[in-house]
Amino acid sequence: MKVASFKNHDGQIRIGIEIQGKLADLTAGLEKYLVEEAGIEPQCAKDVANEKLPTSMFDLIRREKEGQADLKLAGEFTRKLVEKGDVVFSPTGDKIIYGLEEVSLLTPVQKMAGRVFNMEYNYPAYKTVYNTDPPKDGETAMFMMEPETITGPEDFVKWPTTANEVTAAVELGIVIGKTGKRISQANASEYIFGYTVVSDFTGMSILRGIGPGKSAFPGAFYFTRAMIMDSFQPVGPFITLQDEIPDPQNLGAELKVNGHVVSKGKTSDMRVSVAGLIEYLSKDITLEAGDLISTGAIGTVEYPPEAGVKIGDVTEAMIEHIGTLRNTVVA
Amino acid sequence: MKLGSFKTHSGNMCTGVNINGQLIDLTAAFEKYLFEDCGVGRQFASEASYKRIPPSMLALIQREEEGMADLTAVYSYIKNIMKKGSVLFSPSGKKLNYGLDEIKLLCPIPQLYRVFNIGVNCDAFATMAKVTPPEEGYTCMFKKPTHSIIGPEDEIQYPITGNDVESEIELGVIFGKKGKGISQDKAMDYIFGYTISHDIVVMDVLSENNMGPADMGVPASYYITLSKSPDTFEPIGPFIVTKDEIPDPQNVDMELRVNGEVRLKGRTRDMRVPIRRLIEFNSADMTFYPGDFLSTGGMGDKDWPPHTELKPGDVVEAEIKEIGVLRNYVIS
Repeated sequence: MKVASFKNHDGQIRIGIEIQGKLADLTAGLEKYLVEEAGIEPQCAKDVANEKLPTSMFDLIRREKEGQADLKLAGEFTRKLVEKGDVVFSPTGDKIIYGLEEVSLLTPVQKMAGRVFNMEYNYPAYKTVYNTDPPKDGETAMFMMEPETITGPEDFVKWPTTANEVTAAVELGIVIGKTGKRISQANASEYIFGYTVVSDFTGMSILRGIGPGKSAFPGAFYFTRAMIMDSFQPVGPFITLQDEIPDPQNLGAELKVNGHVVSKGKTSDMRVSVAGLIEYLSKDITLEAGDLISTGAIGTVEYPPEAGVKIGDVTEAMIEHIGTLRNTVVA
Repeated sequence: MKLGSFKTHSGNMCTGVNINGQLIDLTAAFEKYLFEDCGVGRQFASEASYKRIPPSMLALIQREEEGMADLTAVYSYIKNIMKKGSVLFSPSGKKLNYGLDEIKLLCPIPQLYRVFNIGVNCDAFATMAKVTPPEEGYTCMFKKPTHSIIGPEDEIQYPITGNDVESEIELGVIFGKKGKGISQDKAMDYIFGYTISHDIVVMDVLSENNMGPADMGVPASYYITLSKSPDTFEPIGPFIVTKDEIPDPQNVDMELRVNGEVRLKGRTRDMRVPIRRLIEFNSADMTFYPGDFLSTGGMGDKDWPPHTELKPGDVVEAEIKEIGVLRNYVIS
């Protein structure tokens, strides 16, 4: 199941499920289910649906297991409605099925709790391409962003005042679905809600002087600064729930700039795996339902993980089984 | 004003002000002020008080100038009617004033989630760590996750990722206004107030990864955020002192004591990059919002290096005279 946050005609933010190129409003779908399958009176069904499938993705994810169960129930029911092909409304008159062109997709991780963990140097190509020392085996670099750094699909990435060289990258994002600490690799999958596409922008010129060892300073002090600029982290449009991606270490990814492939790779090249990252981060840090872990820029020596962009460029970050995230760089 | 957030024994969260060692529930005080001083009806006074002085400090600060105007009004009202030993109530029967033993002080902004920390902001730090400091007027900034934030009297949990845990003492700046591209000469307008913070670090996470003069650099710098991010590693409090009470934030002295013994001393005049420039530098391409927290970097000098070690069982007290004492307990 692929879920997304979207804005409907009335400007309301809703949660949708993608089915055959259409988007179904899950809250309205659950309302219809409750009336037809559970015999609940319409207005009451609407209230229950709003409570069980809140229109904020974050609130839904925070409901952990119960929220995921309600999501699956509503998802299966609305899938059948879409397959029947009629334009349907919920008993209280909310539209359920939309064409993708009728809505604006938002980032699915909007207004999360301020916990965005960005991994860096998680693909071996970095050593050759950028001539820097790697983190130790089993470890990787981590920086934190703000929810306000995040933008959505089709949004603008604003050219900064502090950098004259900006790069874009495609990264696999893990959305955490259960709160926990000291999580072992073996149990890590229990803590995952799903996966999304992250396009991580960096003001590369801010990191000037980064090289091996001592020559990294003072540029190395500015890692967070180079990445935390407003709009520098588009995320979305979809979160593919975990059960549809049984092996997150076998996903192809690519980044296009103005239609040309500039970065390309497979998540099988990750230095520290998805499960490994969850174990590594959660040793002393509590991971919370709704957290986003971006697992590092994907690339190879031939198609490096960071690609230069300039004003006017259109970036498209694509990961198999999840989707494509398109953004435009503006002045 | 010395503002704080507290929880009563019955579990209510309150936004408060400290007057002579008593905590005033400002929402209840505002209700009384509206009813008794402004002629507002009983019911409306109660509803309006929640909106205008919300029990969430973050929501209050987010009201920017209007929130500050209401705060100032209720503060001068309550100072006038407070008498020694008296217990006051709002029109709807809420208790107004509490002794410190009747409440639990919390992090002054319990809803805080945007925490920015500055590193290497005094010369003593660069000397001690033997690193090439940032260029003049530049600083190292990193972020911490929400679970690292704790309040006064809370416990600092000893981590499992290392056994050399060190603390710094820092002046914390709270933003009162949204802004981006803020110039140095306007920077102080964006400040709501000041508080105390510790920036605690697992040194092994840095040093095991080549943190030393020879190989210093990447990859040690990869671990700056991780080494400072464990749960409970950013105690903040006990109060926010509004900026009018600290007219010169570059002339503030601080002291950190462990089990009563002075371990660190610092002065904000030793900052490599002063507060107004920190705001300019960091806001160039990133928006600051009201309620944001910026910890301005550990202070020290050649006699008092800006780091001290903490062990389980230690009682840590960070003091800035104008703000108070932030006490925490290290547990295993």
